[in-house]
Amino acid sequence: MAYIPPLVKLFGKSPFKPLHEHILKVNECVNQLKPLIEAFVDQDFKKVNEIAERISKLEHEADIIKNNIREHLPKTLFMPVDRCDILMFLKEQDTIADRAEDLARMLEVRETKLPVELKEDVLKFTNKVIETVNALEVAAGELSEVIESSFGKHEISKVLKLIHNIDKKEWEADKLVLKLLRKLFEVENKLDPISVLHLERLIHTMDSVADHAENAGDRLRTMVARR
Amino acid sequence: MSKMESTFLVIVLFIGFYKAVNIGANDVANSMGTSVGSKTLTVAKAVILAAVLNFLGATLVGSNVTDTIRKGIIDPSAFTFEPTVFMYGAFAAMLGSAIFVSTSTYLKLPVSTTHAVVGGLIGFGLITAGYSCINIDKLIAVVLSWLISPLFGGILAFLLFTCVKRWILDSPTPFESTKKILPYLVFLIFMIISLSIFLKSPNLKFSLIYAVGISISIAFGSGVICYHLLKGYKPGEIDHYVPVERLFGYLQVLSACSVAFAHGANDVANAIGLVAAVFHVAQTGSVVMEVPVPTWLLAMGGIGLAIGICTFGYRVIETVGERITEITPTRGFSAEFSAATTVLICSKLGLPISTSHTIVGSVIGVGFARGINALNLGIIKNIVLSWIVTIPIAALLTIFIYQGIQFTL
Repeated sequence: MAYIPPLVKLFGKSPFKPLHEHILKVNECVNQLKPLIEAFVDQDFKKVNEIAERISKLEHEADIIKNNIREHLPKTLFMPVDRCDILMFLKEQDTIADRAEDLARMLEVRETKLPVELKEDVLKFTNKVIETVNALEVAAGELSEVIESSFGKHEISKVLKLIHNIDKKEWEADKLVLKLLRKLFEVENKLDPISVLHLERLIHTMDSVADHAENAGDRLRTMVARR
Repeated sequence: MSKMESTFLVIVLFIGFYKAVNIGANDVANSMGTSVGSKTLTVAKAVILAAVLNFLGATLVGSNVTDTIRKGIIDPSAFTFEPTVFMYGAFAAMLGSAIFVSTSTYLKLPVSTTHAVVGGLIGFGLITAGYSCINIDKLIAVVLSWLISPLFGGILAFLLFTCVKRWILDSPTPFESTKKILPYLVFLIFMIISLSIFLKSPNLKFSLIYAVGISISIAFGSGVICYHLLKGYKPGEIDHYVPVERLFGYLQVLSACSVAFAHGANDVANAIGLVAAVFHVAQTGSVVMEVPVPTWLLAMGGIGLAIGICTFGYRVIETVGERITEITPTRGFSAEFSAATTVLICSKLGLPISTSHTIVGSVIGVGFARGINALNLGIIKNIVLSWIVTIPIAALLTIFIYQGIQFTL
């Protein structure tokens, strides 16, 4: 083993590359919600189970990346962004995958019937939630450019615009939640009470996927904005 | 000259050479580390460049620091009537610092050879002539320079990188801005290198105005050449930072070369400074304030540095390439250029500073301008600890060795 000069020891392990790997994994996990909900709409529960397993596996992989980042972030590490911001961002990002997994598990444990009236809006809502997370992935991907420019204001304003896009998608998703819930309670008499409650919880869990994407966007904002 | 005396001189030469090899191997990462890390240079190219430029720096500009190390901290007039005491004391100081540095390297501690030599000299002064021969003012100045050099390098790097950031990285058209600003940066680099060569080189005795004039001409010429080379340069990539970093790669290599040059100039004295003193005493039998350092001795030091770089230094550089991966040429250039400037200024002033600690300071400076992804600031603690420990231990080792020599003779 050769002598390691102080200059080499000065360079720490950067968290930004694994941070990007993490959002890619989370995004991949959330993208699985589309086939999952499609299978649910078709009431194909065998397929639901299959996709739920896949989601669970992706969530676990994201967890491994997350833990790896946390383990290599000592307090003495000096970074261009606040260490706390990175950890909070990571946590929000990770909760996105957690919620997606929760949703998949909920579909797995009970074969709830979906009323025909809701089918179209459920698919629309799912797409919107996925779009929100996709928007986060795009914004977080630009972080490398911000770092490359050493936090130049041009690159920062680009990312801020992209974060604004996440907020917009989340807001649209929220509107769809309201519409969906209204429709659900309009047809509540046709369903048994447990199904109503289950569907209601499914909608809220799906919504929290988008909520945490918005929160992660907020964290990204504090990370890149000028200190 | 007696047979014993010539054997002694050969041993002194050998230790000086051994130290030069050691310094070359340990410090090559300082100049070439960021270039290899950013993949601008391959390991082999970096090693060859470092070897050649260290040699040139040592032979062309090496003598200034040599003087200070010898005559600044301890007062040679105390030995005017005891030339043999001076010779054996200098020998003990050399051996003491060499053993200290080799052991620390083995234990992977970030000590500086320069600091160890100062410690050895103090031990030598204390044991031979006592407390009175140590020039306390000079010692304080030297210790302060250890603190100031990383700080100065850091501030310079911070300012330089902030300018690069404002004018280039944050411009709406980074590549076009790079083309505009690059010639000025090339001017700056060549100005610093030429000034350091022409102002006080022992072999080229130029007057101040002549040296400044010739430096400006060289720097201006290089700037103009750079401008013309860039005129037709078109970026091939879509990503707007890739061609910018590619152009800065050339600057990074240039500034890495100036660090290698400055390192040769600054650190050769650690190896051969005392060798020159011993030889002078052996030849003339007198201890005087100013001893000319023969060019052959500087060249020998330079060759030692080069050999160290090509052998063990090669392995050090390989580790660097694996461990420093997240530095880009814009950052590397800012850090290296600032370190080179700091080291060359300090060499001119005759301050024996550590090149390693200066480059660490410069990289931290770039980090504070939000230029580097992750810096392990825990290293600062180790460096400060090494400052505190080096002088007393190297001094003690020297005292023991001197006592040992007295006992045997």
